[in-house]
Amino acid sequence: MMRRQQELRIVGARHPSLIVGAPFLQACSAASLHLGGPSIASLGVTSAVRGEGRSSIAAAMAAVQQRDYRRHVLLLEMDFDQPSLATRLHTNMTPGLADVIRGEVSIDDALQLFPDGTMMITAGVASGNGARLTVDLKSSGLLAELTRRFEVVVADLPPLLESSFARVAAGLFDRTLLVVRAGVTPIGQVQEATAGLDPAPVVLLNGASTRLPAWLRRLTQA
Amino acid sequence: MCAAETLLDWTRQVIRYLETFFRHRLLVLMPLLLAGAMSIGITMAQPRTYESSARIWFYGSTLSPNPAQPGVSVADREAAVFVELLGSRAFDLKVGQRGPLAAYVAATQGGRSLPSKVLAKVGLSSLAGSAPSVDDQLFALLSKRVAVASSGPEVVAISFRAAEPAVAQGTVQALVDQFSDEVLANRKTEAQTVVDFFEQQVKDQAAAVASAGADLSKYVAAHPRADGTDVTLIALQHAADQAKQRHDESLLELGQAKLDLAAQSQAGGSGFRVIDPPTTPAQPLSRLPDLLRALMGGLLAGLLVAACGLIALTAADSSVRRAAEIRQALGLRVVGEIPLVRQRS
Repeated sequence: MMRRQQELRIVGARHPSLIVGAPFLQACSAASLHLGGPSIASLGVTSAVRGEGRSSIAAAMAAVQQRDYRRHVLLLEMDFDQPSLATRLHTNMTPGLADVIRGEVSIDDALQLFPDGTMMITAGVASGNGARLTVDLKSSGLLAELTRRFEVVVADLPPLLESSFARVAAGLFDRTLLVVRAGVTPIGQVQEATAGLDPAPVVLLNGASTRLPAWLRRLTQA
Repeated sequence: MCAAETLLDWTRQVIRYLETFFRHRLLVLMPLLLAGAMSIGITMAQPRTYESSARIWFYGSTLSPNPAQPGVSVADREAAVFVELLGSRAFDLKVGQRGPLAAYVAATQGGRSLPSKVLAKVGLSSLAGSAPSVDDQLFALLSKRVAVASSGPEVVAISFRAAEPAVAQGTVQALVDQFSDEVLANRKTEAQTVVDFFEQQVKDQAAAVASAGADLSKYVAAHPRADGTDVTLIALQHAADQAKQRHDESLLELGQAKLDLAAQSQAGGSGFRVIDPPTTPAQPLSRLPDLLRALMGGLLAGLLVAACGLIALTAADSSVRRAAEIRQALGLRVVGEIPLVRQRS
């Protein structure tokens, strides 16, 4: 395995942990612990709509698994409609998961290695066939292969209310983490997004802030 | 348990309102600031006002307090009369015409409200409706803006504010003069009625005296031997005496009534005296009380609008802010809160 990793091209001028700040990583580390810490096998990170910090949190959760537990981590991008991780992490966009599912390249060809050992597979070019690709992923056993090769797979899923295949994709993972942007996402949308999801997702509130003055915060906490 | 949950819900609601307030501080406070600034601006835009006042002494002996209301002083009673007169349109019009107020109102349209003036300025005077007549404005001004108060058991103070010192002074003078005329006219009428009454009484009683005297003379002529033991003679003498006595009393009353009537025409006969005549004010009134009043009113109105805004903003914001809200509304498990941090570029 080590030899194979060494053969992989080391990419990513920016490590996943670098696209977020230290407080962000710290909060993700605590959340990761609540989710099971080193016992998580696969985790899908989704949200109700776009712009809630889903991709950043997926990257951070992968970084936390590597940093805190020294686990062999795969960050898997499954947002075929609007992939963004390659741009944000300065990695190659292709070949990606779409190419692997179509059988055009092997898993090893799609893997990209970060200096700390974290690996990533980008979404690749889906050409509008995200739903078909997700169904194929489910039936192909490719995900099982990935979970066998990596200790933990953290997936950046599409948003539940903006993608036709998001629910199918969420169902492929042991745990689903729903990112909710505090002060932005209406409770009704969260309710609509989580309706019928089995098992029910756990929620990570992103961007929680308060404008209450410190004395008032102390008072309300008391 | 139920009470604790209710308290918790209430606390969450309060926190939500507080959160909204601190999140949109400027927006929520804007109506308050605007209303305060507007009220101050409107007050400052008003012309300066001048106040003139007069103090009138009512003679307690002439106008004794009503025995049925021993706690009411002469000044209180006369102040009430003054207020009653001010509520009369005819009295107000006479005062307006007598003083400079009517001419001033006609010249300046002083009775028009600020919105009407603004609408007229922008050519939308039709929306403000037709301007009230000078008489209507006079009645409105005098019935509402003249201050009458007793400042002692026998002294009544009258004051009036106007945009010009001469108008203020002239109007108070006209008020005093018109009041004097009204009171004098009333009292002359009353005194004349009393004189007429007693003249008639004297006339009737003179006839009664003559009749009683004739009856007595007739009886004495018919009964030359009648003496002090004659009962009829005694009765007739008594009747004649009583008639004379009543006649004399009525003559006295008539004399007093005529004296009273004559006194009405004399100086001071009106029962009051102006001890502080109205003077032309040299300085305008301080704006501070008006400003404070306007500011308080503006702030109160702004507070109301701000409260409505805060309620609307809170109601319109259905976003999730706290983990507890998700747990409470959806029953989902929340594994953490990531604080709002600026993402690195």
